[in-house]
Amino acid sequence: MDLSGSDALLLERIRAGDAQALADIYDQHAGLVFGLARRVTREEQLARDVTQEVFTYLWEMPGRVDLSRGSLRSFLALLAHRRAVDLVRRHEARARAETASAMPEVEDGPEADVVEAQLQSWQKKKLAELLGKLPAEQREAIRLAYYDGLTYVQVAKTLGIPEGTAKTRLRSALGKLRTLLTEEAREVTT
Amino acid sequence: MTDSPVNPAAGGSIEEIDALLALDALPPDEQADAELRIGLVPSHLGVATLLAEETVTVPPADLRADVLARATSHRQPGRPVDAVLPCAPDVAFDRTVEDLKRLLDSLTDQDWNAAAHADHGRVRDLVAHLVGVERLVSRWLDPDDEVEDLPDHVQATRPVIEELAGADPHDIARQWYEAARAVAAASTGDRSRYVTFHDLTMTVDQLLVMRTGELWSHAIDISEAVGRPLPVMDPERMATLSTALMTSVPVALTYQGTDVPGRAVRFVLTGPSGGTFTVPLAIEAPTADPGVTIIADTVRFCRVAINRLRPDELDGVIDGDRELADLVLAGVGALARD
Repeated sequence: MDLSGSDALLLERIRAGDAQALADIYDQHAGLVFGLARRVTREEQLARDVTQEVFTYLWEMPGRVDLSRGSLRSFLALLAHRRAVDLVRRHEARARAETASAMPEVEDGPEADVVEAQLQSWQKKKLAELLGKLPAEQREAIRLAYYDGLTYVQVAKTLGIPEGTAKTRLRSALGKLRTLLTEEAREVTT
Repeated sequence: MTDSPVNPAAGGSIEEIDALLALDALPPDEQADAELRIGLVPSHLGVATLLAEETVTVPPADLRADVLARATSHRQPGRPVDAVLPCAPDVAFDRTVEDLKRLLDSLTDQDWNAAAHADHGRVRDLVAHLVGVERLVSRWLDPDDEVEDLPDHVQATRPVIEELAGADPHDIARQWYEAARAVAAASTGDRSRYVTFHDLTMTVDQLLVMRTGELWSHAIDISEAVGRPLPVMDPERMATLSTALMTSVPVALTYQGTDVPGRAVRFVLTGPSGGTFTVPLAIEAPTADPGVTIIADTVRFCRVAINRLRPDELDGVIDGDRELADLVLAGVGALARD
């Protein structure tokens, strides 16, 4: 059995029907899945729904996870984001109208304060540092697209820029982040 | 990924589409087209995951139970996601007899004299041993036959090996096949009835599973002796073997005198023939929390149980009480007869 990493072992256990493995995966990654879903949907109940959908999907279809393309955590983040964005877009007209005025930004909420205190991880600090290196206009585009779940068309409209510019801005932001990450990794290894 | 020519359908370069896919920033009508081009997983996945890390939040305490309950209501725990149904023990035996017949039919004159087994000797002697086993099993299956006490599997067939010492190996193979067909014929009817097998008492179904394991083990012996690839059982038969093996673990440990009342082990057997099983380590012992989880490939685990793989060659993962796991792995083959 080639189980070079713990992700591979956990997936093998999921395939074999080991519910304890699902519990272990939940314990490792629920904070990411729920947090991301809550950030995008801005509603706890929707975030709960997304979290349930993501882990149920993993339990039913572990074969869809391709560890050669990324870690299990990356896959869960991808899935959580897609599901959350889908939900937001389905509920868009109603939800956005209701929440935009009534809900504070998630990161300002009391739960986030707790999290902030508890999760001062290297990765989080590193992300803030890397995002800080992006031009403000790129950072804003990323915030709207990734954290608010807008399409590039909506980003363009929100920022009052042409659609092509929005696309280029988002691509440049991700490309720059990737370069920064690569440089970071190179510095660590040397 | 490098910049590529503009893609007119989605209105951007592949790199751009990949980035937008990673951010889920494509409108629905462009998303499907992008997934066709890029696949479900964009190459910018790592960067997107880093963005996700910023959102990590402690989930509500009650969500864990809800998630696990919902998931397991969609797919029952214990069974592999791609599970195959075990075949009936008589079907498993029949298929294994036919597999071994094909292997024997393909042997060269030289192959028959290859050393195959530490106790029985050459390939021809090993097949003669099987002739002896099938003859005995036919007698044990006959309720009117009084068979003398024959606790030792190896010694019990010595006379037959001597009887066939000068026979043409193809005739030994023919005799074995006919004797095996006779066993199959004698196994019809009530397969839940109890029969003797050396010093063990078991149902006809259990006997057929045990014999399937023995035929498989000797097919491995012969294949190794003549330099052939190891025989592969179909997933249905492997499921029959693994399921039966799980119920026999407490019996095997008790038989060997290494049972552990009050303790249990959890097996996670991977592959379509496996599953997840919590097994007590003594007969009729109350269910206990498993002290250790053994995660292993189903086929390799079954090879340990037929004594064709040493426990240290299992290549599995032990999570928990290592000593207990070693004891269990050393005992799972206690009932195997070859």
